[in-house]
Amino acid sequence: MINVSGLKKYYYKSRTFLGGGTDVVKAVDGVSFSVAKGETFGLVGESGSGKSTIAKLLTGIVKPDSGDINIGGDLDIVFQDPYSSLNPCMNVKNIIGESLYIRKVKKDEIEKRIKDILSLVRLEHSVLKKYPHQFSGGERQRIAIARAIVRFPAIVILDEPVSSLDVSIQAGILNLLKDLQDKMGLTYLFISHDLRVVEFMSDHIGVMKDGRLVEIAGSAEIYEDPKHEYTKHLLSSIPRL
Amino acid sequence: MIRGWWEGVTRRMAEEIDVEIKHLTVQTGTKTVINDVSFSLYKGEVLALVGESGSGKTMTALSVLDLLPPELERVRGEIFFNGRNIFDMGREEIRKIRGKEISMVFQEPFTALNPVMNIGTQLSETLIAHGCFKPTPSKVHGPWSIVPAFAKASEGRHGPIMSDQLKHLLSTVKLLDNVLTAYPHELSGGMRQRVMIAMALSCGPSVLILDEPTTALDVSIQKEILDLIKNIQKERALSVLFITHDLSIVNLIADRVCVMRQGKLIEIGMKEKVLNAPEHEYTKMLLGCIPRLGDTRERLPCF
Repeated sequence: MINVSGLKKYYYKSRTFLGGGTDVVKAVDGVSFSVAKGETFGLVGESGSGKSTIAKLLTGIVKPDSGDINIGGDLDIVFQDPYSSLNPCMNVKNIIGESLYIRKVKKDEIEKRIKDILSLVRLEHSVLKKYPHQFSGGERQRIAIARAIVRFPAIVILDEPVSSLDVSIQAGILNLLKDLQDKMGLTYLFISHDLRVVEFMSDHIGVMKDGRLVEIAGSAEIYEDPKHEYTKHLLSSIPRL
Repeated sequence: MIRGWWEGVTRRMAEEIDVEIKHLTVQTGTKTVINDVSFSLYKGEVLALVGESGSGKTMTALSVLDLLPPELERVRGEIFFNGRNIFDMGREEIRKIRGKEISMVFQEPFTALNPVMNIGTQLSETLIAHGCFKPTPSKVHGPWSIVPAFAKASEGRHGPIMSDQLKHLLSTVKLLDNVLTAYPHELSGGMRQRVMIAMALSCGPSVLILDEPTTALDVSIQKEILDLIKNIQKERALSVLFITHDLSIVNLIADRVCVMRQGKLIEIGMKEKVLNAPEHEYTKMLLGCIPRLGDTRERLPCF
């Protein structure tokens, strides 16, 4: 469903005003992976490791320097921060329906779709006329998920969807994402810095460091038999219960 | 004789308590934000205050410093610090305690730091306010220092803030001296939180309140910050009130745990007991909803 090979994206920062040299930030440096249909691929790594750049490259917001991206279907994204990713001036109906209005879907069809989606993400119909500031973090993230799946995309990119939420709200959102995947056969690219969450969600996991994928393995193998030093470091920094 | 012994015990117990909260009830309008909460923070212990957002844990911490937002009203209850009720103190008296005897680290290190002040100036603010700042006259660098006016101006910009006291403060949180002249946006999240901790420790407080200090950080940075806090706490025998929503962090850092829900205190006890044999259903849920490595569960429990 997703096939990425040799993906590169460098950012250049000129050191002096007259161009006396440049600093290179290798955000993504030769990344290759593939994700099968209906599967969840987890990307894990510290902030600055290039996880979000991969999300931006896949959505086409950022163009790659080199490398191929093949995507077998529609694609939508859920962002990390549910406080800044929803437009504060739009009510929930317009936030969720916007992508349908743009595609000139018929009005009755839009109404029906929005109502279906709301029940899928377990929100009341009364939320439609409310604005983002009236919701808690968990409810906002549900709205963001509803917006991402309203077009019935084949692939959803989840860029740290639970990192800003409480653990109990996080559990609800993770369950919801799994339910939606079962019902709609979605393919997920799940990005997070927390290996526990990635491991819970994913079938395969890629560990990123400094723009490179240092290890790709099945989700059980990664904690049972980590190969790379960095993966071991990530595992050791997780608080145990 | 028994009476004398008993008095000795109670006195010792009273000495060991740093902060004592008694029947604290806080309301906004008709909504009860904190509902009859009582607990004590003993000297040299780490007490974790755990609960979801909206459970009243931050408001409980803010009451300790008498910093409740104006729309919240304390209906009932006392908070004793060193045997004195905080709510009986005058404005100036409580200001002498805030930041000096009891200090607090806030959740979001980016919003807690002033974006237009460099780190050195921000660090010195607390020290100056409490009269603890010892500026060291530092050398002025550069050829312009020959001209007295320039030398003075340059000292004003960088001189005092490069004081040895501030350098020492930064070294306690394992940051380099050059951070003093940096601005918050130049630092990473972990570095900002280290600066916040340095700021809280600057006047040598006996009680430290940490409000979700690692929630905005990556897991690996979180481990570093928690280790740092734990080391400093042991070195200085600080009493720490650690607020979090994540029980797995509690396991790393706390001695005792206090679980709050909807403004009520529902469970309090030693860490080992609460984590291994929780009494309350809600505590069990909070424990269960954290994914673990090698989790075979299909779904996580949640309310």
